[in-house]
Amino acid sequence: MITTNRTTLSNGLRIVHHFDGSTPMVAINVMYDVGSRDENPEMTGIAHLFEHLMFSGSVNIPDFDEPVQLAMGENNAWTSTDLTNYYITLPANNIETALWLESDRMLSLEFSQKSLDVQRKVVVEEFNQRYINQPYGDMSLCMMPLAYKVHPYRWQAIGADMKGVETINLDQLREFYYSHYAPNNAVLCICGNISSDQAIRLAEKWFGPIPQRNITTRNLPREPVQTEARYLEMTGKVPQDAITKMFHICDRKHANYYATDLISDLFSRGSSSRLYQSLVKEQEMFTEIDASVSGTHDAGLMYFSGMVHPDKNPQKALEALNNTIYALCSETIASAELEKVLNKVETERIFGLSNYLGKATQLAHAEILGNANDLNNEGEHYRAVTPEHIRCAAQQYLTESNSNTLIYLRKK
Amino acid sequence: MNTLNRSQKPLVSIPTKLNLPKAKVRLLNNQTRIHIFDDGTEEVVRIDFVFGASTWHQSQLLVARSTLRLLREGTQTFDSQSLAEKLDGYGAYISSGNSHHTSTFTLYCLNRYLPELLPVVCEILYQPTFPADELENLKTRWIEEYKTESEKVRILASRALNKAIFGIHHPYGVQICEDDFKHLETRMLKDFHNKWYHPNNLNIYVSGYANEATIAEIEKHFGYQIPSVLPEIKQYTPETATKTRINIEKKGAVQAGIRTGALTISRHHPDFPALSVVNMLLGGYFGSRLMKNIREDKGYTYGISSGIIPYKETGLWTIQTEASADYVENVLEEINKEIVTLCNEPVALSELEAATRYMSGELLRSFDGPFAAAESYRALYEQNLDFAYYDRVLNELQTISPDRIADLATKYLKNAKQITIVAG
Repeated sequence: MITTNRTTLSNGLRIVHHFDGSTPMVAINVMYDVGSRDENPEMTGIAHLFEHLMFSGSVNIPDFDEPVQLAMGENNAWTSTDLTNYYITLPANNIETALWLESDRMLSLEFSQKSLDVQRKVVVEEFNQRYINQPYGDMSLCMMPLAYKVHPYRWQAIGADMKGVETINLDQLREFYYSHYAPNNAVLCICGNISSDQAIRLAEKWFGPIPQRNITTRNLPREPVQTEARYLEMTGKVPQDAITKMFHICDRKHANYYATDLISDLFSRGSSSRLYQSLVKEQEMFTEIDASVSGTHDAGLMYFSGMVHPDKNPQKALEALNNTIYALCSETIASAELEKVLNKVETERIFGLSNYLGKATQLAHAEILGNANDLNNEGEHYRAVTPEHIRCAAQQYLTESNSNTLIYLRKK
Repeated sequence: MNTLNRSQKPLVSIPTKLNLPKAKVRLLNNQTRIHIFDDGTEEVVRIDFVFGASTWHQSQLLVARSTLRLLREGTQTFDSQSLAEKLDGYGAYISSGNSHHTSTFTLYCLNRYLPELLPVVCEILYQPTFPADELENLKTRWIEEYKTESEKVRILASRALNKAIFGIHHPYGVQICEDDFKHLETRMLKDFHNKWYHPNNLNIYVSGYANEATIAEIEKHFGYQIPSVLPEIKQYTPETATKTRINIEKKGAVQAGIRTGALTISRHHPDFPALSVVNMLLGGYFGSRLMKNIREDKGYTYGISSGIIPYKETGLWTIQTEASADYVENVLEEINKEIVTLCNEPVALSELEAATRYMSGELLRSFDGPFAAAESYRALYEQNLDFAYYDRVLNELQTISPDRIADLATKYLKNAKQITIVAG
């Protein structure tokens, strides 16, 4: 049980505090409710570029990193399709340094044309390093546009390409900032060796004076229901054929989410899982195979990704994968199999919450989704799933007409 | 209410002494040593079983790695699938990995299932059967993985550097090719296991919820195997190449992997803590000179770092980055400039302070919580160092001067026999 104190400042900033006396440290997460889904389709990759620029100077503080280092801290950030999260860990005594820094960059930014020019190049190098100069890197860039035709999940957080990053100007960035970065569009989570009174008093001191802003109302197009299987074949200079298959599933807050997550676990969590036993060990169709759900705030995907065995025909491998996936739709799984993945989920959940930064991130995320305390009910939600739920969810989502298959063939 | 002065930094307090958690150590009857970090609030535990048996001890390539990986693919009582069902059934996670000197099998689990899981783990470690078909399946998978890895410029540069620094006859410099996988046979694994997997060659690290009951449960299963005479451990000396620059061509690469390296001192050397500070200033963290210049000022790369890999008897000082082919020579030139500047101009106190405080923070973080503490402790223990090492580090962080930084930069960086690899 993670005990939290929650409050909202008059400017709309939601605050979550959790005391953890087992550490001398404290973690501060500022999670903004903005991600790549909020980008203009003509200018993708901006939310992530912006995350880089958040370290390039705010209104009163020219250098973000050095004060963190002088306070014995460490900081970083990440951007996803739904969120942008900034975090600092440091000794609890030095918490004000973190609040001072985070509040200043929520108040106003002050970066130069030079910072923008440099960070553009850095992000282009990041794009090249992760997606272009990496075997199968371009495969992941093709996955989203295959599965999504309308919704902004059709590009990845890094951007569909680097055009937006290369051309955006300071005015456009300022506009992005003022329409998404605001106390009333963020959660501040403080987790560690600090009392709730002190945490909330200091949060009020540094963040309270920041004015509320008009946030662009999110009005994203819904992805239409897919009615026909999609298939894409590509080739590249890679050593091994690869297959990815994606099915549309529900959103993160939907009642079916826990069942879909467990379905991906039945398929791929641990060496006893269905995909590994059947496709890697018995049939030797793949050398590696994995399943997962995206867990995005809007309707997401269930992924199946495998590397085809060098002696096997990729079409035969795909057929074997399909058989294994669709078999779940016509059976009611044994309770022992469900119990197994529930145990795995429990172990992972507890390890994931065994450190203050992990807790801070998960609490902030739960608060963005509605209420930080919901994190305490996650275990029950998983335990409430029955073999019947699994069968229904499998029948609903795992159908060929709802599928998107991407085959990546090695150039001969 | 006072108006907030945002241009004024809040005060920072720096602890003068760090209270690092200590391990409890116990020797079982059969000479297996247990190291305990009991600090868990939730009932989960991590147990690392670490055998002194790895690439340093093997006489054929890949044998140590395949022995470790195949342990869980069959024992005298269970086949591969039943083992997987057992471990997964109780919600356990298993991982395994080799360093050059140790093979580690790790169990992560809920404490309530330890009584069911430990006997299975015990069989896995002490009574494996190494089924031939499982080895064949694994070989295919590893070869494919190896081919994919070989497409990455970062990997190519790293392999080439170790080869150049240590030579192919040294366990740190040895190069693997596809055929080495094909030559593996189960008898080699059985032989390796017979030689090295004994209780007197095992250290167990328990972290998390690790009270007396947990330890008693472990002792019940791991305290009674009989110790055995261990083979002698071979010695190797590095044979460093004389070239200073090696280019590896990789057609179609958009970026080049750059890696430089030179042999340096080990953690046992009295200068090591101070040299870590020099390295930190150069490229050890986000605020380092290499990052500030090459990423934050020039935008040549997404990231660049330098580090000292603390091998058991030596150290390897390296710098690594990936950058567009067009920037490679500029990057190398800037690296050189930064090394020279570090030797010739005294570092500003504020810059030094940022680095040393960041390092004190790192130290705190590396011992924060039982899991991190056990890992940091283990890294020391395996190099025959104890916590006095951290007292030396702390002392250095509090006293090191700009002059000493410049001296050490000259002695260990500028005068080092650096080899540069460019793959791309």
